[in-house]
Amino acid sequence: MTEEAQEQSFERYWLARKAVAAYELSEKFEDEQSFSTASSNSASRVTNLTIDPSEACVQAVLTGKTYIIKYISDYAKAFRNVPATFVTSRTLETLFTTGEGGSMATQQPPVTDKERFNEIIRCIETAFPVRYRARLASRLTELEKAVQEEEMDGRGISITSLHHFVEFLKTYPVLRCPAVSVTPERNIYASWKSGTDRVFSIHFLADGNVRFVIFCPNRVHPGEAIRLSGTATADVLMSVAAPHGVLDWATDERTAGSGF
Amino acid sequence: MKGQPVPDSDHVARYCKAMTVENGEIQPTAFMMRQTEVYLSVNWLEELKCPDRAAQITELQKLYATKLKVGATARIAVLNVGTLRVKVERESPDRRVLPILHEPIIPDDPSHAGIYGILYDDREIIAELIAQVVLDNHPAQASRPAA
Repeated sequence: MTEEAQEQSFERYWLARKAVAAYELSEKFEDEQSFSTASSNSASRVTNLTIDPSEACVQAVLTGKTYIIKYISDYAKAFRNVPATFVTSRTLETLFTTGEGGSMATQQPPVTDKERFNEIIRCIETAFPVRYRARLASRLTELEKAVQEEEMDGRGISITSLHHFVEFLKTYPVLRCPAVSVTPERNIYASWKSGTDRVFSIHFLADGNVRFVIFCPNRVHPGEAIRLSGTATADVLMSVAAPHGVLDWATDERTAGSGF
Repeated sequence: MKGQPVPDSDHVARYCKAMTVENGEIQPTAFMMRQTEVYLSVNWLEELKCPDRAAQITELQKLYATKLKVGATARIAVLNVGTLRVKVERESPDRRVLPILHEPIIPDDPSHAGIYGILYDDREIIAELIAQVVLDNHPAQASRPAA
């Protein structure tokens, strides 16, 4: 098997595994640690993966067992990258209509914000880095409850802001789990800090833009700090922030140095 | 008296909702205003006329209980006025001066005050600076006596 084919097989295995895990059917799989280092031999265990729009389900056949998983909209992105040759019924586009941000499915939109929130939490619990998925899911659930209680009208965190925050973390898995709180507009505010002169905070606006704050040491004048803030689109934010050294304190030690 | 500047030697307290607190630590979002607000609401602690900090906090807890739905993990941030003003003036990009003025609400909240000069468009950086000078923080909900 070529290296590319191995990579594709592993991707298929990973996607199927995530889908199966979404419905807590994963006990037959390897544990998380061995999964993360699984070789192409593991990938060969995927014998079939079909996506059936009429049934709105994903069927994964692994190691001789068939798992039928109901369609979950937030998994649209996970399945978006499945090679077309791997989809045996219709094309993926038939099932998933990509909305703003490129990842949310819209064919079967969730009825309520609560359902959308729960989907995002499920996504975090199953597809985010093991080192912080439980903590982040728990924190967001706690915040959702706090917002609903404190804001009187029963509504929770802005779903679009939350979605952009989650997409950002997915894009940069090297980042450690931030401190998370909610602004008066119910938007997500994430902070990575180390002391008072190393601050990287992002306000995820509902329109997909971000407002950010960076405090970093002034390397030319020890004891002085550089402080700046601004607005950007989330996709270019790290290219703006990285030159200020934010990765020195916003990443885990063992992953620091991973390039941007 | 309405509009009277709160002296630099005095202290103000800010009610910090549970959604702005993580593990007891007050986050900058606690110091962000809504777009419709013209100042950040605080209470002038010395104006409460209590003998000590503990009594001031107890008084505020009672006040919040009558005005707000106080979250279980909500906190009270205590700030020294002079420290706050100097911090923001020295470290904000435009050397922002924040007037802190008495804004009594009679008769319910006579110690009410406002931190002016926080613009909606740059609220994040000012909130970050204020969060760095929180002197101490206390539960916003009065502890219930043991059964």
